Amino acid sequence: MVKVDLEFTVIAIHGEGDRATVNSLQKYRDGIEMVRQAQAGNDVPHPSVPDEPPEVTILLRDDLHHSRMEIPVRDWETVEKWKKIAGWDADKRHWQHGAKVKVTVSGV
Amino acid sequence: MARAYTVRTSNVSVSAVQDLISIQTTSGMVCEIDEMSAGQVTATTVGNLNCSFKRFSGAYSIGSGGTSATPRPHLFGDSAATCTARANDTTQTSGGTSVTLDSDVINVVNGYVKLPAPEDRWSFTLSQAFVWSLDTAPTAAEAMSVKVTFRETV
Repeated sequence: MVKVDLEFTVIAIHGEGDRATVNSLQKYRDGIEMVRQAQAGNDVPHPSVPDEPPEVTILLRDDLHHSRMEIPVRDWETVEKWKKIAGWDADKRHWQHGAKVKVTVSGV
Repeated sequence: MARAYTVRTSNVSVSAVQDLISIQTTSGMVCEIDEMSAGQVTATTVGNLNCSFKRFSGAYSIGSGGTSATPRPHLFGDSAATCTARANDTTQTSGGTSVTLDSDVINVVNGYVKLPAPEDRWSFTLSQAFVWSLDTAPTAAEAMSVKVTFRETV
């Protein structure tokens, strides 16, 4: 199989990478909705504990041609992998930018 | 063509002084701020909260304690923003060179909208940060929704 390796730079990562924070925010929003429904006199079931998917987008730039590539990440396992690849400050919960990554293209 | 994006928070508990929203340009992108707005669904009596709008440059440290927010493109199918955004950082942005561009007051009952005329919009060059700082803590936690619309101009 023929493979082509391309070098990219991580120029930006959007979206919260901490699962607990995402679920905490959603839990609060669920609470607000419960209050709103109660005020309107609606009998609605209590929401379950949220387990929200991530909404992370990795933005890469091809070092040779300067073209961009976006990689949406919608599962927490892949988010954890990207933390190792791109860098993640666990104390501040900050994504890091500027890492060099290699993308391999091959036939299927 | 300049690309427009909106960063928003939805029903987040705000009880402390914080960076409501911050937007960082990167080493390859500049932006200008089009619109800022805030509202809340908790308080029913007047509470006036001081806020300020700042430009950070140099070796600043962006805030922490909140979340990384995703700027949403206005055009369907448009590219993801190159500028990055954060929201509700209770450890506020600090260091570097800070300039307060404007100060204002949010009347939490009425909500808040700031829509500068096109010629008055703040622009941010490479490696700077725009910070909308809440400088007065609410007397009790409020579920606030805040948004900033900006335009990448390179």
